[in-house]
Amino acid sequence: MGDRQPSVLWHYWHLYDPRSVSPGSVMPPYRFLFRVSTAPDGRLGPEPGFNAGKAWLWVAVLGVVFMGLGWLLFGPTPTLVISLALGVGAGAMLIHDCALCAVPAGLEEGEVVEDGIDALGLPKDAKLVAGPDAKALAEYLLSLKRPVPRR
Amino acid sequence: MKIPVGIPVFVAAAGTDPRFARLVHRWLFSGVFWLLLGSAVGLIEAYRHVDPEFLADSALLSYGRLRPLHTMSMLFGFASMTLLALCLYVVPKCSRITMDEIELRSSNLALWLWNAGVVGGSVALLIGQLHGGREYREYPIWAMGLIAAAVLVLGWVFYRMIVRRQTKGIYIACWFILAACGWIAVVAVMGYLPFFKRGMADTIVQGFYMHNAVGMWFTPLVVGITYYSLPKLLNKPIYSYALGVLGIFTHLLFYTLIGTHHYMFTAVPDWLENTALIFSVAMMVPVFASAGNFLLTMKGEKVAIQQSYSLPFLLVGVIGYILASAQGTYQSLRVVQDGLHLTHDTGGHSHVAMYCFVSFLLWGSIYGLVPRITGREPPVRLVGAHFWLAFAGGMIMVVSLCLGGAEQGAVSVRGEPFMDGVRVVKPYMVWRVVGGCLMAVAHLISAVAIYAMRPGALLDIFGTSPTSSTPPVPEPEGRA
Repeated sequence: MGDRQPSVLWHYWHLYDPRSVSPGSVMPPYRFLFRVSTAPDGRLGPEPGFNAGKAWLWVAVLGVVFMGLGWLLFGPTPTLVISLALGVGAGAMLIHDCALCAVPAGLEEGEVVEDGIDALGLPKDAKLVAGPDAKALAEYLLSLKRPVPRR
Repeated sequence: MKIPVGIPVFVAAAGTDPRFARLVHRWLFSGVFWLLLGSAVGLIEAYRHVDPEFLADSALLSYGRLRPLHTMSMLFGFASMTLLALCLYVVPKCSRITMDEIELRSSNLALWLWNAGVVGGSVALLIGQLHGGREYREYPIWAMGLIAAAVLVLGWVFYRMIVRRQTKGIYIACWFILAACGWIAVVAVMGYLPFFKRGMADTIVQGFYMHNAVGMWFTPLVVGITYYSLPKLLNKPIYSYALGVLGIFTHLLFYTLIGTHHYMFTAVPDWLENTALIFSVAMMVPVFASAGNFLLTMKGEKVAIQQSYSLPFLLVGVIGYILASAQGTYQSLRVVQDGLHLTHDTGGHSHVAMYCFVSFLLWGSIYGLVPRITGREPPVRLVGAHFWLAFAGGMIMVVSLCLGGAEQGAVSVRGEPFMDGVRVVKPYMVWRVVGGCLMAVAHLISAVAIYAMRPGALLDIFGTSPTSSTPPVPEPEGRA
């Protein structure tokens, strides 16, 4: 991968809009790893798609629905056991990795993509800001080199 | 719409402990819930191969998070829970005992531990907490720990029931079920041990884990259940008990070593690849021992199969067992794998194995056995619709994936550009969505049919309690 596509920009374009660099591709886009800025001072616009707060809201709503169904169908004890396990698990995940809630902070120091913006269907003066995940992914892909054969 | 069929099952179910019937049906219905979730997620994923911009702006529903959610809810939600529901039915029946208080309570605890594990694991996958990109072990370790605890509790329950059996020998179904509980413990621990997660060891353990999660858990469980349900539904003995014994011991001998055949042409040592290859061919012995045994038991029972709504599922499942295993063996040969590996053909193979083999045997046993303890039969037309939709949908999906994969492989063997392979499979991806839709509708219908089999009210009146400490249930005056 790193041998075929050695440019980090290519990887950002590919992640943001796969069909802009590889026509006919069926890879889903990863626009949620980026933020678009159209303001002249480089301020970030609203982030596309889901954010962490919405994700947790969804989880909470689904959890309440599931618990309610469980309570109706099977009674309180099993429902409480499941809620407890879920709470412990969710707490453990929050402590272990807070990347999801830290996305806006990380994006401020993200890498800015300016070239080839119009090919991605964005306004000419816009800036594309790659988040930490997109950056880490591009770096990983660039590191994939064909091994040198041993003699 | 009530259609009178066959034996009145509420007679067969009389005397069943209602708590036992409720326990089995809860395990069953939990599995069905995860089946519906997994089908919805699978449909989204399949449609993304046609329109990659579908729901593309959501991190929560991105491809990499939904894919493990689909496989894990199908494997550890649907297949495992429904299989264990039937095991909880088969083991006491084969041992000619009824579950006592402590076994009922332990199995109920295991049910909620298992559900908590799958719920927690699914939420973790959705918010991006994977256990690395390791196929079929993406749940974080705490979610898998809950499931492992449930397996330990259930394994102990099965062991306890078999120990206090009222029969002289242990029937072959119990051998398979107890063995699977022990084998999955080894496989899951290997899959989650931290010091195997570096470099080549991770790859080799990945092959071991993902092949044996299927080969040492789902296969022995479902084959064991079929060793009970098929003779029971045909009302005749199994063709050969000795073939079953041959099956289980060759299964133990040959299946364990074949995981590495997923990693041909990699840095895995050649001797390990060759061992895996030889055992992949030897795997045919347990497959034909069990599948041949089932087919020979079914021989001459054409009328019974035509008239039953559960036996057609079993027939398709047994043929699916042979096809899935034969396909696995020929795919492991280097010359075939060179073209077919890393194409859609692998997805086709996994759907033959988990759908046409495991799920069909499961559904046949569910519809055939569970009414005998709950006292309620499913509506026959719903079961018929389920069978034909699932059969047609499964066939469309499997054939389109295998053919598409073969075309894709031909492109890569000819050395043509990668994008040509993507273009070639596009029509097959549309057919996969069509098949997936039929399957999802079949699963909705099966959910209704299985809900209709919930334990009947008659059980509470005629059911008896198994232990002497608690009095029998009948209380006609309180029920008015």
